[in-house]
Amino acid sequence: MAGPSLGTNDLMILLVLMRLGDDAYGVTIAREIEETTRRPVALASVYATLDRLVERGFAVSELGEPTAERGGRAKKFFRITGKGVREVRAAKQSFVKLWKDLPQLG
Amino acid sequence: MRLRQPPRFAGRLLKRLVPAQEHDALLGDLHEEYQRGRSVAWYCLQILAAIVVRSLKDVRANPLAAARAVITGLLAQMFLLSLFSSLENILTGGGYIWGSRWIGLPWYWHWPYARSLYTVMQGIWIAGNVIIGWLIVRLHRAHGLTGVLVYCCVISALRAAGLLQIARITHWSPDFLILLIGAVNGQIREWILLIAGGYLATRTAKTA
Repeated sequence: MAGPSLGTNDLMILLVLMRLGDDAYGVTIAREIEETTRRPVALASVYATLDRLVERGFAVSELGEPTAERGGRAKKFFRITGKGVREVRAAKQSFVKLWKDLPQLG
Repeated sequence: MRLRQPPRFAGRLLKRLVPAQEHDALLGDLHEEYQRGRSVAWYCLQILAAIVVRSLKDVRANPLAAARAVITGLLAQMFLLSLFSSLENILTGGGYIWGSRWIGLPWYWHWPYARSLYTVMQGIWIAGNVIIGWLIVRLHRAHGLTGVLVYCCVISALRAAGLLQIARITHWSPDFLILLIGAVNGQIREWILLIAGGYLATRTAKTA
């Protein structure tokens, strides 16, 4: 079976989608990444990664309702697919194997 | 609760410069964060990041269009340089080269202009770069400013390669550093003019 084909950003976003569940859209995803990595995030780069994941079938998107708080624009919610979960699982297995028993990591 | 209005020009700029993509969800997110207290500077930086990220996405999706934009810019640049050279001959030498022949012009072709030659050549350089930017976007309108941005990166890379050669030959002498400062200054001005020309050629999302 072929190994995972996810980049670091792809994997991070998929994990965030799993954490956020139904509340995963641009703002919440970016905020979760910022809180975890303690680095500022460009929303456009989050969307670029999400679009790539949707194209590859690892996530799906759907539009919510427009609100005045968003200038009359709808939220775009994202959800991880079964294929995405399998890719994350495969990535976890690979990383756990590679990280195991490394003296530098204690 | 009174809603704060984010800078409208920023959103319009994004739609105008990268027209091939859907921006509503992103703009909605930025609007929402702005309501939560983010600053105008934050909003504008996010828009700038979006222009760059989405332009890169456009290039990856349409590499041939990007290559065509660069070729258009390079050909227009070559024409501009030969025009420069001809005009300089006319304004200083009172004539121009046609094939292998020198065509002399009456004295009044170069007498009044020689005094303000630098101003005239600067004006031509400015107008020429604006026209190049305008031409690239006009011929690739569906991609907005992407073509101009790619062209700017390519010519900067070519000039940087040339400067590196000079640096090696001169062993990074003080004279070279002065040349480098001038080159960087010129490159920044060229970028501004090319982008300004490209911006003039874009149309609003409503009329596109």
